[in-house]
Amino acid sequence: MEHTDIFELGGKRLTSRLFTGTGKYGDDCLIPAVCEASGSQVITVALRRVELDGRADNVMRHIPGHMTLLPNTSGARTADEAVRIARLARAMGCGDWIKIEVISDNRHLLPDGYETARATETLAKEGFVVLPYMNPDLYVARSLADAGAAAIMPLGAPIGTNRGLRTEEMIRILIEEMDLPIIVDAGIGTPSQACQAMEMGAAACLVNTAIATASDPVLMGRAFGRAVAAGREAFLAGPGAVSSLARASSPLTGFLGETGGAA
Amino acid sequence: MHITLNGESRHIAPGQTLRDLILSMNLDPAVVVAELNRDIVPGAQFAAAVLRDGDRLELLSFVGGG
Repeated sequence: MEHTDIFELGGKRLTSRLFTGTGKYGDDCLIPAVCEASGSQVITVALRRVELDGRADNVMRHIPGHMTLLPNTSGARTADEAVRIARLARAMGCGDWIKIEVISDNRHLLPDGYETARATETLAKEGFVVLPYMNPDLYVARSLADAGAAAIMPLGAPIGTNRGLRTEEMIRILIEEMDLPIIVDAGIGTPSQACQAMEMGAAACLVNTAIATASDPVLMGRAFGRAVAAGREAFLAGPGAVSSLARASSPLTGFLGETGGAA
Repeated sequence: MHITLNGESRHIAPGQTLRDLILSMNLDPAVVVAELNRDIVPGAQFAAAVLRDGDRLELLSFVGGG
């Protein structure tokens, strides 16, 4: 039977639930192979001022044409700056998906929920498919949904830390309470952590640092692609019940050497 | 004349277009996005956009990011 678990987001039909990033690669030439090995169909990029006396770092030439581009608004400290970056990104002609990042705390890189909601509201009205990066706070998530977000992107741990699902319980609440897709973004360090997020019912995971800084990014990309798919299948399959007492898997009757028994 | 390019003062010859400036910097106009005095200039208009003294110009491009 053909497997038809399609993730519909922003008018696109995705078969992979692993989103990947393009930052921190030792060599951007690895990106196409990571895309292929991981099966990822959505990829993030950032927007920066060009170097005035050097060549532009054209990451775009490494991104396969079939990928859905998800520019982020990293560098924005306010909603207004995020809106400005989003409009510039769209003017590049690469579609209307935008990941909102509004961060003014450079030590922990934690997102500002209020400014993120403001930017989301403005950009959703302008027709963007808005994917806001956020702290996994239920009230912020609701304000983002009200503002027109297409999905909610809670952090598992601070950006780039590879520390895993430190916010597991808060993400679980978002998955239970929100009607929008929950895409876990930031902090996921290993495939097992991505798998766990998917088993919990996350709609997708976004992974950058854990793949880009692996010794073998292509192999790690493949591992993440498999882990996300496995976690999704486990969620769809519906895990069995958890019990504190042992429960035999084999019959407890008909042992060798038993005597007596009913006539 | 002087413009402010990406936050830095820069001397350029009068009459230069945005496209002239981008090419003079060895950049590919197809991968650059421009904001002139806070207005986005579509790539198709780079050749028609004549820069003026005191303009504030931002030139950006995509880079790796997460």
